[in-house]
Amino acid sequence: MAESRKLLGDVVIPGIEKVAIHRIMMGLRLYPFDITEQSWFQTALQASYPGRVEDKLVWWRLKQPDGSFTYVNVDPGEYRKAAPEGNVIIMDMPEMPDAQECRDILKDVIHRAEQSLITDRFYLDLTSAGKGLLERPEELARQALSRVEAIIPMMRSAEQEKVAGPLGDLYYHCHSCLEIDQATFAEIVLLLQLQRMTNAWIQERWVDEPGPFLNTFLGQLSSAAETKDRLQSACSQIAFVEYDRARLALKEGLEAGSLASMSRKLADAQLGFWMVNILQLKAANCGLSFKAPRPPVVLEESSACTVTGVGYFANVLTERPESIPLHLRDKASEEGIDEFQAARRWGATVTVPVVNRTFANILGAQAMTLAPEPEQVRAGLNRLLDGRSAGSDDSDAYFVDDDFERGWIDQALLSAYKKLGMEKEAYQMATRIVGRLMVSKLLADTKSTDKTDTKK
Amino acid sequence: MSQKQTNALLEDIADSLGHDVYYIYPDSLHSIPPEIVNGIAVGCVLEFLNGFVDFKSLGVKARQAIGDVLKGWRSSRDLEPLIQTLNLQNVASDALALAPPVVSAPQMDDGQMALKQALLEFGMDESVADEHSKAIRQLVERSLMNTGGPHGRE
Repeated sequence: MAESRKLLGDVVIPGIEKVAIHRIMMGLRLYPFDITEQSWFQTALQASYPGRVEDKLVWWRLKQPDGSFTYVNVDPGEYRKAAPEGNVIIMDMPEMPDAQECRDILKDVIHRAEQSLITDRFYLDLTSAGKGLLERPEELARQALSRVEAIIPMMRSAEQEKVAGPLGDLYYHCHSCLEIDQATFAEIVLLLQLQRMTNAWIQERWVDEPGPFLNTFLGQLSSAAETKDRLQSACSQIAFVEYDRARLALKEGLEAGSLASMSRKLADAQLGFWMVNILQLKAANCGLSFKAPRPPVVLEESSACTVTGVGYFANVLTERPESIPLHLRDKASEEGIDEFQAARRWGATVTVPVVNRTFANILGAQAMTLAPEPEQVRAGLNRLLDGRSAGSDDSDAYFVDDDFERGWIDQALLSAYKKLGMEKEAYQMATRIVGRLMVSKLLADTKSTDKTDTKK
Repeated sequence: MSQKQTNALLEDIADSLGHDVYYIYPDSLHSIPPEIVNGIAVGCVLEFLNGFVDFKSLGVKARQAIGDVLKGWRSSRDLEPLIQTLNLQNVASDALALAPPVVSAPQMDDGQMALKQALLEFGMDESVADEHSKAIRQLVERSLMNTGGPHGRE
């Protein structure tokens, strides 16, 4: 079994815990856990293999549960249902070995989160959901589904204003804190909305299998003339509202001041796009058409692009901090663009929403510091320093107000100082990093002692 | 307009188009490479300028490049080989340099109309084409103003 991957290749950056627990959980909670583990394994394998061999494009053949095959390549990234032709090599995706890579990564992240200074309720709840997923998944699922069950009678009888609060709680626990995988939660929310909007209520217990019930619901209501119009109108309203909301969340996410707030917006965008795409696909399967905000290909790609952004950063977090900047440096020189453009194109666009723009700029400056030419390193270092204290006379000020970004910048500065032989500055920076880590550790220990005392 | 400003404009246009680039890129080819998105943004700029700028005053080579890009973007698939052979940023810069020092509102209207027409031809819904042509108009307008016109200094 391969050695399990660690957070940032075991490099310690203060403040990583909040970003990591959220993004890793987002990546692992897209689908039910077994599917996620398989897809994680497949992605890692593809990423470790060259996209081309002797000028031939490498395609991976994946066996689907129904026995059919799909084909994927990673250079530049395509998916097909028919076998590709031409100058290609087709490789069969091996069966997943008995590895628990996702669980190992999650364990590591939870351990770090528990040792950290996190005090915000959201991250504590998220960590608790992550622990539940590892240690008592059935109980976590029961708890989440009981939240859904509790809201059904309210949705059925209460006025909109009275439902808003409980619905917000449901979203908080099942979506924000990821108590349920998001593919399933998207189906649950669709079923709740559709039943309320058409006033057609399923009498059986449906929360355990929302997917099949959603299919039946759409099939039955679309086959009866008296309910079809109502259903079409409900589908259309949901699609327009969710699509607009998702677009806005994505835009706000890219412009967010920190990766932590970007991640929350990205999660909202992902759920919204997913809901619209699922609704469109399932409606089409039962021959129901409705006015949608975009054609199927755009809906499908909105959803696919956002899922890629979510999943990809979960992978980035298991690499060393300099791995992406190194890649950006190569990209910039290959394409004749600067490192900042390369960073934005790599992962801060609507079609590839991996990080927010601010963090992309940090990565761009860091990429410059990895160049072999000292002038380029110095230019990158200055960009990091400029950014770090922008708008402030205080040389210790940061243009970002989140620990994670500050820690990341400091690590990048330390490497650049070392590379340029600036020993005094390197020493000062190393002292600062160690100092912050020690203070964080001390405060975290105090927090943990307080907890123990309270328990007593 | 400097190369850097042209690049910034193209990035803003790509952002504004968002997932709707998939109207323009063939749906059998998933995951649009960023170079193609950039090419689509160049296509939008050229189409917009085409509404009120006469490209004839350009040199033969530049005019030929603009013609090729416009033809390539209209047929979507032909954009990819052009990316290998042409510097699309330069093509966009050459075209932007032809905009008059002060672009009047009616000229902007013409540009917006020309772009909207092209977007409709890609199958965009009226409201979506309208949204993007308006947004791109604002981006081009802002960009020209910030640079003091196409010939202005940074």
